Amino acid sequence: MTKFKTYFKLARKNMKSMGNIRIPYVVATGLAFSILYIFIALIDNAYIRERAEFLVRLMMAGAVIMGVFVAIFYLYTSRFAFSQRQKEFALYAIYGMEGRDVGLILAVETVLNSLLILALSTGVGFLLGKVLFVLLNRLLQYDDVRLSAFPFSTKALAINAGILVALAVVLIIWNLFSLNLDRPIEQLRQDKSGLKQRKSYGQVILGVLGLGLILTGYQLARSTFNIVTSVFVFVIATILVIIGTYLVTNNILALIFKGLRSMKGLYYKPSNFISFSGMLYKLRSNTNSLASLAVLSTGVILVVAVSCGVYISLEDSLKSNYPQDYKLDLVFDEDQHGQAKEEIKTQVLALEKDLEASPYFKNVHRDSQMICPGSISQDKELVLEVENNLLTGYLFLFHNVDAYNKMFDKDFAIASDELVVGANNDEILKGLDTLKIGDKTYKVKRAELSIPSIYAIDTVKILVAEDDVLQDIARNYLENVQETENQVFKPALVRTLNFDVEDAETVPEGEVEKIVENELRDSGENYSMDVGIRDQHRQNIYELNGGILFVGIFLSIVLILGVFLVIYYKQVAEAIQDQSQVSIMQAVGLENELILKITKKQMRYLFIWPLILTFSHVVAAYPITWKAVSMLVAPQSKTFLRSYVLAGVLLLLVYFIVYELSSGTYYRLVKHE
Amino acid sequence: MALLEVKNVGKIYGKKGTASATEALCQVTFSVERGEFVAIMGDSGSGKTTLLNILGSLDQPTDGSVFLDGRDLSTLAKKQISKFRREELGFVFQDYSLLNNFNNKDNILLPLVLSNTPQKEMQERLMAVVAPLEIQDYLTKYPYEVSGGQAQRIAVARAIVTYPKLLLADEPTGALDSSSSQSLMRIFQTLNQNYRQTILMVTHSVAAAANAHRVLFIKDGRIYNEIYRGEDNNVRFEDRIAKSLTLLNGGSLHD
Ligand SMILES: Nc1ncnc2c1ncn2[C@@H]1O[C@H](COP(=O)(O)OP(=O)(O)OP(=O)(O)O)[C@@H](O)[C@H]1O
Ligand SMILES: [Mg+2]
Repeated sequence: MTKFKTYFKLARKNMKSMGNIRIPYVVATGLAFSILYIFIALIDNAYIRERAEFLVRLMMAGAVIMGVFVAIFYLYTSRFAFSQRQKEFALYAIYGMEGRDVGLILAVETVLNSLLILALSTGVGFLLGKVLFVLLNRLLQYDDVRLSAFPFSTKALAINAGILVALAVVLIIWNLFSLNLDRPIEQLRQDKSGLKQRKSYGQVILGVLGLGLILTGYQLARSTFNIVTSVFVFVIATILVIIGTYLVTNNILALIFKGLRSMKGLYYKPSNFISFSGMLYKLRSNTNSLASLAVLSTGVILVVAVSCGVYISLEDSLKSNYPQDYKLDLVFDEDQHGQAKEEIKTQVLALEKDLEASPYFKNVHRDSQMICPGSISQDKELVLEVENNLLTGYLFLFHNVDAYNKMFDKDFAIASDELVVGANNDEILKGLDTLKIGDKTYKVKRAELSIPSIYAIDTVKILVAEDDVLQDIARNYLENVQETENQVFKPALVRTLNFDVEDAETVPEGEVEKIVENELRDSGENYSMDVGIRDQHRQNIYELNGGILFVGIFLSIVLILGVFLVIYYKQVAEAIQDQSQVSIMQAVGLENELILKITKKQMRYLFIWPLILTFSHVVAAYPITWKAVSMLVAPQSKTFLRSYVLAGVLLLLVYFIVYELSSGTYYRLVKHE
Repeated sequence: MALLEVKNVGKIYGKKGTASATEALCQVTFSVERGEFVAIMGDSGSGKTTLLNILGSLDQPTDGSVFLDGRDLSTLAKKQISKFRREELGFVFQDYSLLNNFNNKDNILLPLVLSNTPQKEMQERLMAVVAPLEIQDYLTKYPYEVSGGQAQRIAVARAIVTYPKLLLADEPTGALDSSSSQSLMRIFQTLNQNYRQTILMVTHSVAAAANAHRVLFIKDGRIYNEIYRGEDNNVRFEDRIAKSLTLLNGGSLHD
């Protein structure tokens, strides 16, 4: 028992003395765990559960990803601290402590740490959670929340505690196995030996391999894949790029500086002499953290850009689905199968008048659209495939150009033998200058068109000159359709009336339906109708997508914590390495200012590298994330680009602030000696 | 005029008059002639390293002054000090103090590069020190890839490659076994005899000190005694040094 007390004391003393490493560690992991707490508490929250089922599922996925990240941070930081303490362990060994004893001290430290993290994360999580609970509800556009609807979650506490216990066990075992007390002298000299430069030819091979992997990943992210398969492609591309990032960082940088060093004229200049070889020395170790920085930073930008992009596109998306307050869709059986009739046209015109005359509605606009699945053949002909499996085909949306212009404030002008064509996947339209539909061939004008996002597949939008052309196409295209059992999408010519309300409160329930039935009752037509109200739809899409922003914000906070930890620990590790070097250089006759100037420059170069990789990765990932976002909402490329810029600026800001803050620690440690 | 003149040098660490102040040196006066090989001995904590640091302008005395070649070190501006240290002094430390980020050759060239020496001259000077030190085989290796004795010879090469006026060595054999120590001392002897290199060396080893022309004994920060080699050979000189050490420690010669 007394022995245990000694260990407890020793562990506590050690923890106190390692403030530089331990305080950021506890704060960062504590914060990461509090975020996990909040997430689990929200998933567990009755108020949320009742209202946003989809969000709960999304958050569960988010919580799993976050859990993995948090676990990695925890292990990374703990192991970093461990590696910085080799000398201390070697001294224990020299004083005659056994592995078991050192292991016990480490175990006690781990347990104390875990308790501290659990307390911190639960406290912060509970308080911060209340604030974020309100924020989440704002994002989902629920207005009637009370703070008391976010009670303390014992479930979240229990899960966090469980994770911490599991991690502590892993850590203790890991530390025990890597504890090497047999050769203490070697440990004492560890920073001097065992870090030999890799052979150049090996570096060339690995570096080129890494570059190849990155470029392959980039290529994959750009290439044509159907939206459904692109998730899979994205995962593969991501893995390739991540591996490539590590290989390139670990090898190419060192090769560059080796190259510089072999240029004698350049190398044997005072500042180059010190900085080139200093860089090479730094590059022998810790390059993994540079690669990790690049990966994390890329993650931050992508997560922020995509989640913000989705959120700020919601209104755009809403507008493209619901140009006005109300939307009345009418599908006439006669219209299908190419038997479009003049009467239908007249009836719709009459209906338009009826609505305009109603005291509740105003600003009625006519519109017609046709939706059908199909593909484009080699000889540029539209092929109808009702049994088409959606992995290879597209969805075609035909739309009247005037209605489109009015809806989106555009001024496309086309002749009756022309089409304006746009798609949510540019690859589909590559080289398409004409399009044959039935027996007619149309000239194709390419344009970026707003495409409703309700269809999570590749979609081609085609603007036609007038309703007659649409009917023409309908006749040519739909007359051969025979409905079958396996049909996924019904081809349909939809006639739409969009209109606004005078006062949303006063519209009686079923008013639109009443007007339609009155007008069409005697016509003998077979028809079906669908009345959509924008405000109701808004509620739906915010519920579906508002949570994405929320999860995105949290995921990016966790990633930013990761960036912070890696930058900070990298600086501390560098400082510890540089301490002895700096004092020797001074003794040999190097001005203090020059040393500081050079080390500053080196650190800057070192930390710019991950940024270069990050921005390269982000640019490469842009098309595929655009596609992913297009699946959920109908983003405008300008808004989407803006959210990317925003995310980039945010990352730069975080990066430089953390860099500046932690370089203070660096100089303090270096000068200390 | 002597190459090095130390006049009434005193050094107090910490604030004067406070309880934490330590007087490391007091009224130290001596001089070293050109081409002389002087050893400094004394107990641990007697102030040897402090003295050497002051001579090497790594530290400032609180009292007195040091002249090298007639120039008062305290008048050197901050900027000149690094240059002075680089060009006029050579240092050898107990722990070699080689930089692991350079290979051995670049470690040796470091002071020359810092002084913007032309490449051709650097090469010539390198060749000139490589031969007597027998370090040809280790030049392309890194400091952590060679033995202690080899590393110390690299450190000596770095110290003398600038043809310094004064070579300062703080326990250069402290981390070496006896055969490496002996070979290092032979190198010092050669440098001193063949190249007229002035050397000031702190050592705890009687055998090492016996290579010098003169041994200074320091006790509690003061020069306590000095003995000259005269016509003695190493063995006899060693004997006399040992006896002086015993006296220094307050012992009697007969037990
Ligand atoms: N930076 C310092 N601050 C305060 N006191 C110091 C400092 N450096 C040395 N001292 C003190 O000055 C005295 C002389 O130290 P010095 O290092 O010169 O001894 P030394 O003769 O080199 O000893 P050793 O043979 O053990 O190396 C000692 O009492 C020491 O404690
Ligand atoms: Mg000393």
